[in-house]
Amino acid sequence: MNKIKKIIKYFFILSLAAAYVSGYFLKENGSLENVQTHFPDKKIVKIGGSPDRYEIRNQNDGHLSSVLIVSKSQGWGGPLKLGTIIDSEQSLQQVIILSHKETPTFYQSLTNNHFFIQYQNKKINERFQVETDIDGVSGATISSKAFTKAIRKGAHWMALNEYNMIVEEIPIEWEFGSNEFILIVLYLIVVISSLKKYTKVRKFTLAFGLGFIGIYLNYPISVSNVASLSLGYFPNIQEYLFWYLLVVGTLLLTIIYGKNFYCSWICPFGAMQEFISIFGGVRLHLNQRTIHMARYMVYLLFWLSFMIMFITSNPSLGTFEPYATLFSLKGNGVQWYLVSIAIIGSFFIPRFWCRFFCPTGLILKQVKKIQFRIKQKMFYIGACLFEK
Amino acid sequence: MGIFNGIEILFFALGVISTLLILVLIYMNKKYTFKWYSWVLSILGIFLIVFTIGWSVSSILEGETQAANMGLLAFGLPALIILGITRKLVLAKTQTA
Repeated sequence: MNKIKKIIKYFFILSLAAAYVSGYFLKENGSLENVQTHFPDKKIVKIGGSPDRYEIRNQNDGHLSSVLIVSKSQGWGGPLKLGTIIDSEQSLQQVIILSHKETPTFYQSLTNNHFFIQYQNKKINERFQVETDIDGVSGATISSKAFTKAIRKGAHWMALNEYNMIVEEIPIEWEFGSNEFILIVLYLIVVISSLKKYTKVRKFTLAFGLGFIGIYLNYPISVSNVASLSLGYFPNIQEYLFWYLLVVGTLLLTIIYGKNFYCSWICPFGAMQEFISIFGGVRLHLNQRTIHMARYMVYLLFWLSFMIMFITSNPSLGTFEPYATLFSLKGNGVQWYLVSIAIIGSFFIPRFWCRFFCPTGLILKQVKKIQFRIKQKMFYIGACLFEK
Repeated sequence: MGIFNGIEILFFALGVISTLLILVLIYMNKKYTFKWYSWVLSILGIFLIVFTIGWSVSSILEGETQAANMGLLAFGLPALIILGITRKLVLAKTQTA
């Protein structure tokens, strides 16, 4: 039995490594073909590279209708690439998305709120700043900023290099605001309370996590965040400080203290399940065998999720967690199906989703385990050296 | 315009139904202790029940009432038969024990 377990373990590790390597070498479609699919009745001619620029001409008379510039930026899920179409009046005509790795719910929020329509007829040397010039979509703020940054990069490049226009330079500043401050305070409260064993505080931090990280920000740590890190998609730390504080901060705290603070003290989805099970009051006790089987299900879901993310190099495709759907009340049918499973299950089994499905919890648990093993080995080596 | 559309509500309801049915299965297993074939049959039955509801309601939402009726007949009936057989198997095993 142990031999079979070992074989399955090595199969999981090797297949994930193979998926990672194959995803790295799978090339994206060429830009020209990608652009052409958006304009089947137009003639696309490449006019320059770095950044890629194209002329969009009429198929019949070859008349130049507009110019397209390709630009990139780093979003919530990974790099995104878009085409900004500029007319002869140096105004933005349209924005086309060539590729992105944003969570489908966030991207859907942008399109549903007509986010890209607001760029139409804007002059290419405008500031394009979210909140002052552009309306960001609440619940998809990082995605709004990332797309805006890519559009600004393309438009300003054209304004400076092709049309000799004056462009106001926008310095990148550290995004340290009230949200970042609140998160640091929350971490401090959680770490102190956990180490001092003030367990009564846990209910309050969970409730705060539900309100602040869940309902207000819609920012729970997802498996796609960890996949983004492992795929090397590092967003700019100055602009995405909150992302780093939340994702890297949680991982670092788990490594330093060897405790999974996030799941038990902060996680908004876990908090929601705990409160449901308290108010529900019904308990279905599981036997050890079912709990054991459930653990394998989490491993299987984790493996499937990471296989998809690594092969496609796209963290958003392998994400099945319904957090974003629950807190934004936007999602597709399957996501709503998963939300109801988590809610109804929690009425009968505490932390139903965490026990049976959550891959993020599994990652944090494994980090904790590895930290414990390293600590043990270090202790052993230290003891051996001391004896000598 | 409401917040949720018909498909979203349907999938939410399907989640509720499938979770409740699985929990009932776990509860029944504690009471009667299922054999492996009872597990296979009951999970197949639950899957078919959920699939039938999904098929039929989405067909009605799309205005295809004939497809909805066909779904009930082609998937709903076998689901009920399978669940009926499973019940008999579980109860028979308990009585003999």
